[in-house]
Amino acid sequence: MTLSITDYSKRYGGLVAVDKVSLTAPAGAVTALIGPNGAGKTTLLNLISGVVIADSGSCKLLDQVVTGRTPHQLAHLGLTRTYQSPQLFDDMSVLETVMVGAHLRGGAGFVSSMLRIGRTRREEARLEEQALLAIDRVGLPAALLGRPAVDLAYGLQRRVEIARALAMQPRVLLLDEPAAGLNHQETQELAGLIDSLARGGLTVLLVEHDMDMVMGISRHVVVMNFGRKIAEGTPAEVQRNQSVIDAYLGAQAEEGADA
Amino acid sequence: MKVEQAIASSSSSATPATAASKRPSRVGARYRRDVIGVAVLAAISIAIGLTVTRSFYFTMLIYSAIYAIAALGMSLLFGFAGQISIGQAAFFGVGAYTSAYAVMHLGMPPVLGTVCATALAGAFGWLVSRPLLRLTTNYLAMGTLAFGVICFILFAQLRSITGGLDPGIVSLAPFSIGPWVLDEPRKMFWLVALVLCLVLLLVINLVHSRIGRALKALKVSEVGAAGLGVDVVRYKVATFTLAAALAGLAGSLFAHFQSAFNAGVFNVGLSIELLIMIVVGSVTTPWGALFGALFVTILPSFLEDFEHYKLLVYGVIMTAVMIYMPDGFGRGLVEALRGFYKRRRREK
Repeated sequence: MTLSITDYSKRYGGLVAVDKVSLTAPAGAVTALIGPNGAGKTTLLNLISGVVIADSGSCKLLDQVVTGRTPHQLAHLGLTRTYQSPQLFDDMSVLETVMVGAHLRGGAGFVSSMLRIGRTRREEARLEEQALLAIDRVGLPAALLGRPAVDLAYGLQRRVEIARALAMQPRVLLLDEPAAGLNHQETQELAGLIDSLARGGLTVLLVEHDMDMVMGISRHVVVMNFGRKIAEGTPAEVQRNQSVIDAYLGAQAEEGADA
Repeated sequence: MKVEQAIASSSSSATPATAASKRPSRVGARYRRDVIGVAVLAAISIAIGLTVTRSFYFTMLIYSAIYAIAALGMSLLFGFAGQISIGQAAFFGVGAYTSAYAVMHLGMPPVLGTVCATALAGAFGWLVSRPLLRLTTNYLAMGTLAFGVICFILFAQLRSITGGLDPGIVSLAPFSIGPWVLDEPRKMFWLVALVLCLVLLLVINLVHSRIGRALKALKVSEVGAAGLGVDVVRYKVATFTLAAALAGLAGSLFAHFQSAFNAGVFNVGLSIELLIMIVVGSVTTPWGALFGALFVTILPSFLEDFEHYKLLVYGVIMTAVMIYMPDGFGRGLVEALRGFYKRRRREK
């Protein structure tokens, strides 16, 4: 397994946000993490990516125990993510933003960057090339390269974020609601992109509310509710699972009662 | 690597990707523009050095350039990495006193003294940055401010090294490189202009590099940068160290040019002026440091009769710039001129 977590827990005061959740994600497939709002999906993603430290449990990445590692250490091992609200950098063009993603593909430090010796200059060219490949891969038009990333439409910002993650050439990619705010066609294009990335050998862990997308491209689905894992299996199995239906329909029934 | 191949080979259309490598680099174009700017600055400096005769002008420009060197460090630290410091006067002071001590007590040549001053200020910066950079935003401002005040008191009290507030350092020899003694403002101007151009070039190289992009990224989103493999803490510490070293270099040049100075120079006022320089100039480009240093150095000579109101005027300017030109006064001026020319061209 490329990524496997065991009994991860996180508690905020009296609230157990994530309660002993275990899951595994293999290479070359999309593993989806779904659940009603507030189920703890994003918290779990924060735990896996090292943004938040787990209270207990352990995490293995490529047969290495990585519990408690910081995000940049995990990035060195090939794990990166996108965020529910895009974490783009103001004042930076699309190209520059994606070049930050290629950060780990370069090695120039402060001194060699300041002196800009030949090796550093060649490295710069290489990073730019890699960023352009990643931008091309997610289908961003070249006309946008020089535009500030934060000025783009929401759907395009999401693509910039994915391009930035791809420029890192990750082994494991965590996607936090990549289709939120996208229209139907954009969502379909995104699903196609994620599917082909996984087929290319990437381990994808997808948190998403768009069920068409989840059921269409995931090999394995993990369902959470109230911080706990309530079910897992293939998309078909999960759709038949009674506790999953209760979790979703129960939530919908309450919403209906409110309205 | 499998994924690497997947990303490269499955590029839906191979043509734009290969064309990309032949297309002139977009990021490189901006870098080249800045390097040309340094060349222009060097040419202007040479022209000034050859034609200007009044030593008052040289004095003004020398102070501007010295402050610009320290402000360039601030530009990296605050403008790019987003870490505020209101304690840069401490490193400026460490540089000045190290140079004075090395030359007067240890008999070092000034060049070596300046190298030591830069290194020691940098080392000092590295040492204090680890605890200080655990703080962020306003707390970092307060922390560095307190640090600056502590250092000012130390400078004033460690009389055996610094001479305190009175008499301070008296008659430090002018800068000299081998047989050349830079005892006139014009001669010192050549050196300071050369150092400024070199430092500016190094800073511009850094800004347009992998490291510079990482700094800009962590300024906006530390989480986002860290998730891409940027070692946020290390980069912040290194930038703080670099800014301290540049302040030390500036302090060393200042000490030699001033020849006599006391601890009063390195009070909080200097730290605030260095910060004002880049806020007034521009926080988004190193050129802002140059503009701001020139502006802040020359402004008081226009306000001579209002010496006591200097801080008030600074305050008003700062506030106005923050509200109306958040990218800096210098940047705002450039943008306004650009807009004006565009409009005129369109009218024609």
